[in-house]
Amino acid sequence: MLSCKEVSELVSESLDRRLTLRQKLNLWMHLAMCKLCTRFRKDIVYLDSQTRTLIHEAPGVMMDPKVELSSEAKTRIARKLTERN
Amino acid sequence: MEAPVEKPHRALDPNEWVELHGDSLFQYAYSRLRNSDSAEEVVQETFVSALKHAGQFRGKGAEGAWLMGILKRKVVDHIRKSLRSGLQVDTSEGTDITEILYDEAGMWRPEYRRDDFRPLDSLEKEEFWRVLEKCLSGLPLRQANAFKLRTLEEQSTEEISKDLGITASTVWVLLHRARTRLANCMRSHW
Repeated sequence: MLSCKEVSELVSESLDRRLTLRQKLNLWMHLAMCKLCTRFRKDIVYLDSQTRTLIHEAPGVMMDPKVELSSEAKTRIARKLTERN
Repeated sequence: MEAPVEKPHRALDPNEWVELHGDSLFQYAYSRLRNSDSAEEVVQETFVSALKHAGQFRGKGAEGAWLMGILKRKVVDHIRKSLRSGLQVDTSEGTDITEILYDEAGMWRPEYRRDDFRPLDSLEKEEFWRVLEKCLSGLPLRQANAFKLRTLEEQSTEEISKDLGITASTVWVLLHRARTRLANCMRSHW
């Protein structure tokens, strides 16, 4: 029987690699009986999928329109470009 | 001396270029790197690289998208570099999150056995991002960078481990800690 800590490791790894059949069975057996780990799994999977979804669907959400390149920085960059051009 | 670059249709005016695209490029870079100096550095690298390869650029209106494409790769490179240097100095991992959540037997500690936590999927989009960013900034650097490469930049574990010269299982451990910490932090942030 897997401990809750081991389950959390497998839940995370399942997002990065294919688990073995044995690991999958052990994982599902534990999850079927453990509410806390089921909740943990739901959160971790959602964290991953929602982050990816937001990046593709609403990249604007992540960007702050108030963020600007300072005029000093613009001058610095433009000078650098002029030197190379 | 570098070989002269092939000029695109119209002469490039660096000042105009920076004025036109600087802010949107910087906004993207800042959203990923959360550091003004790093973001500026990456934007500069983007312009320099774009200038060098200006001959490859043909389309007129798509200049912004072309620059953004270069910028995105530069951002990934930057996160990789900082993850690599983080490995060298071996910055502190912080407290092992799993020791906080689980006892010696690997079972949930009593304080996490409550059922009044709101699940993450109850967060609105905007709030989800705001809280994620806040919690990301509180993560140990290596964990934050591993999470960013994997989830924001969508690199495979193999790519990350090959690039950094660490084993895949080290990457899994970093990601496991990062995700666990993030979920734990985000749950307690509204």
